Amino acid sequence: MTLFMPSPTSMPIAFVDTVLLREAGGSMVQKYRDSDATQMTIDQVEVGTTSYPLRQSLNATFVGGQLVAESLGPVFVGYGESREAALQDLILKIHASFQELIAKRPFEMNGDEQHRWDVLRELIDVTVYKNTTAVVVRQFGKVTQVRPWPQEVEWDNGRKEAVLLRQVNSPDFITYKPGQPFEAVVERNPLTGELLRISHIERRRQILRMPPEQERQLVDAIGSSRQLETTQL
Amino acid sequence: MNFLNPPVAELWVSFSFAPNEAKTGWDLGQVGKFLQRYMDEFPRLERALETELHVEETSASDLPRVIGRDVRVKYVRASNADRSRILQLADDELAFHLLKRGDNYPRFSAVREAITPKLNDYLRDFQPASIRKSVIHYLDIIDIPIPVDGKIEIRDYFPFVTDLPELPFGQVQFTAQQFVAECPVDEGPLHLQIRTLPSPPEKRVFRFRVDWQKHSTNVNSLDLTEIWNRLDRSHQYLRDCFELFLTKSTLDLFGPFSEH
Repeated sequence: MTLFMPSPTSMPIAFVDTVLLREAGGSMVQKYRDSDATQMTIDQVEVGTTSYPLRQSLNATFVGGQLVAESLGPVFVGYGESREAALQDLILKIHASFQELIAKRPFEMNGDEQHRWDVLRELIDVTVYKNTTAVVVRQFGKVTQVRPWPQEVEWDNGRKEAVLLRQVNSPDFITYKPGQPFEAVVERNPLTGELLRISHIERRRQILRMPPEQERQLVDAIGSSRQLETTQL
Repeated sequence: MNFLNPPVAELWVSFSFAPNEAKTGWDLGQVGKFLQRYMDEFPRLERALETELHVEETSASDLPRVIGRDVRVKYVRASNADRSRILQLADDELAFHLLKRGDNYPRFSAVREAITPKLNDYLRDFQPASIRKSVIHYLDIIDIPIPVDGKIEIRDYFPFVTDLPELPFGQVQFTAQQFVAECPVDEGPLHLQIRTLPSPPEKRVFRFRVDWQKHSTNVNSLDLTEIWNRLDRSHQYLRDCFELFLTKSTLDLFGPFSEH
């Protein structure tokens, strides 16, 4: 048999399983990984508050300072003196690549990036990740109800929303009075838009709206495409 | 034949015991006491848990319900600081693992030396009726340098690995094969498996993992001299098989030298 070097763009093969050993004449099945100390099973990939939903556990081998996971092939390899250090290196490489590539559209990726993204999509359920990872937005608003503590705010688009004190990561929020304007970093459910948490909030001065005439003059000064000359192609 | 740079990445020896008649379960308290005496040598502890879910069928239109959950300790491992020496306890099982670190290769004599006092302590603490089985397991990682044309004939390195014709299958990129052989010199089978592993891109090698697992069955004794005699025979058998399983080209990668 001739063994060919996998091309850089070929997908790594996910082995069906680590080999099953049968006792001769018996029915007991023993898996190597139950006793093999170089192998490890990676069930979760988490960095800080970011958790990646894995489609299946990763079986990895730590040999000679290298942690190689079969289903990741040579694309992602963790390096370290200990297997914990190599695991941390591998997880950070996955995290860095994922965060870099999830922000790109497929046509923006070069061949190497497309290959890495294909491997990551085999590993991570991207749809579940998107649907369970909070959207973080910066919003302006003001407190509208305080009975006796702040419990409702009005955002600058006019929408009112109930806020629980435990959702706000600021002990100072409880002292906000009715009408207090603020700027907040808000985490929302990506599917429903429901407020999950306000991770940061700061008092702000009231945003003053320009008089209508001044606002119209400003808009006019920006101009529009209608003012451009028509070009014949 | 000995080697300057052998491919062994891990080596372990394990013993399975027949419990005494008074046993009612795996006593984790006793496991703790057993490991306590090795705290200095093996300061790190890890355990593997096994969860069993009990599921009840409800009706054709509803999903099954989980009605119970059992969590069991599958094994406990105590290891030294760099995790190159591991003592493992499972229910009626004791194993000692040596892992390669730097230029220190696991050797059978070192495993034997390390596990013997632990085995004696185990026999005294747990009072098993007998040793049922012992196992030697070698894990080899073999890196074959990739030639300029990017392909190798696998039979040039592993003469007994079976073949697939390129037509109509196409190019083989990965393989995994296993054999079970009845050992002629010691009762109990040899499980042998070879398969390809991904290798780090900078190494430009084809990486193979070869597992050698020799069981010594029907021991049914507490006579350690007899047990070690069988292990020694099994070990020599593994060495003979190893040298035959690989071609000279492969053995040359490990820096062979004669004992004489």
